[in-house]
Amino acid sequence: MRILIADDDPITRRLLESSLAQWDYEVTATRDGQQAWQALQRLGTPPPLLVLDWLMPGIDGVELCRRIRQTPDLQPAYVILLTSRGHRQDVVEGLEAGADDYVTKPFNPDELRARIQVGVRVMKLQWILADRVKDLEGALQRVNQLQGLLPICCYCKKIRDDGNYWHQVESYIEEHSGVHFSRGVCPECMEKMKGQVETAAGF
Amino acid sequence: MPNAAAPAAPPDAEILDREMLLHRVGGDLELLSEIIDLFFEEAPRLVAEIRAALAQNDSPTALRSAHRLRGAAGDLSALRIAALAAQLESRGRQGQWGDAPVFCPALDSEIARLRPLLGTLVRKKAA
Repeated sequence: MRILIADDDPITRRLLESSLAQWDYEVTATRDGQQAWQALQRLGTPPPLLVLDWLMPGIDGVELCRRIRQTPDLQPAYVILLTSRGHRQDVVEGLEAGADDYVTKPFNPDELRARIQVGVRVMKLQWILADRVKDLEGALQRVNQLQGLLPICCYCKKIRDDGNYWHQVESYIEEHSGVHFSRGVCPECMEKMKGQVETAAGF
Repeated sequence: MPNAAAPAAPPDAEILDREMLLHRVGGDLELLSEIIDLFFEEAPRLVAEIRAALAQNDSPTALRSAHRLRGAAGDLSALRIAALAAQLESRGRQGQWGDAPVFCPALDSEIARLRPLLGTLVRKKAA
């Protein structure tokens, strides 16, 4: 899974890059908010996880977070902000700007790793849910095709489609739903047929 | 035997948290050397920036450089430098720069004290 990092401190950036690579993430490292924002426009598939420093020259972590949240193409994304210890108000502002979590600097590798794993879980869940919604939308569309007013012939029971063609009721339903028919004869018709056969045979 | 007459130097453990630093680099010595080099490029430059900014009453620059120094020292678990930079930063946030200039020589000497400790750490681990 790809993670984008943005930090103007070369030491923190190097440590983040190396830790994340060691934990088998693909890393896109950027030096500040502006570069991170450009990388987000450039990357074909936006990174699902982002680790952003709070204080950066130009576009800071919070502003970057706001921009990401306002860009539908970059969703869903899991954003972790890096804040300095003791800046409690920053945490509130960061979470309100759309960050999902925060880690205080200097980061403890175990804590960072665990928090990133939370992000991975959340993102995987989002993807599963998005797939389910897609499946359900597809199913709903198929059901919708069988809703509404269907013109049917009172005598032969054929159904007229939107293109003004008349179809056998079975073929129409088969085409517009996931239903397949297995053919048989009901007891009532069986009785009728028997009567007809007997009459024809002259019993 | 320690010489009782010598001025009390802080124990090494108060200057550098070796364990945490090694943990942070995941035991990777190349990475450790790399970030030590980065630190000794960054830290003296930042102290010089702070000094110059204080001389010119440029509070925003002094504050930003103190913050960066705190971050860099924190990453290296250089406890004394991080603490001094944090004190300077918090004074700056409150606009109380009065005794700020005395921090610069203190930071210089802490950086000088840290250098051999980090050098020993790399050599010891490499051995």
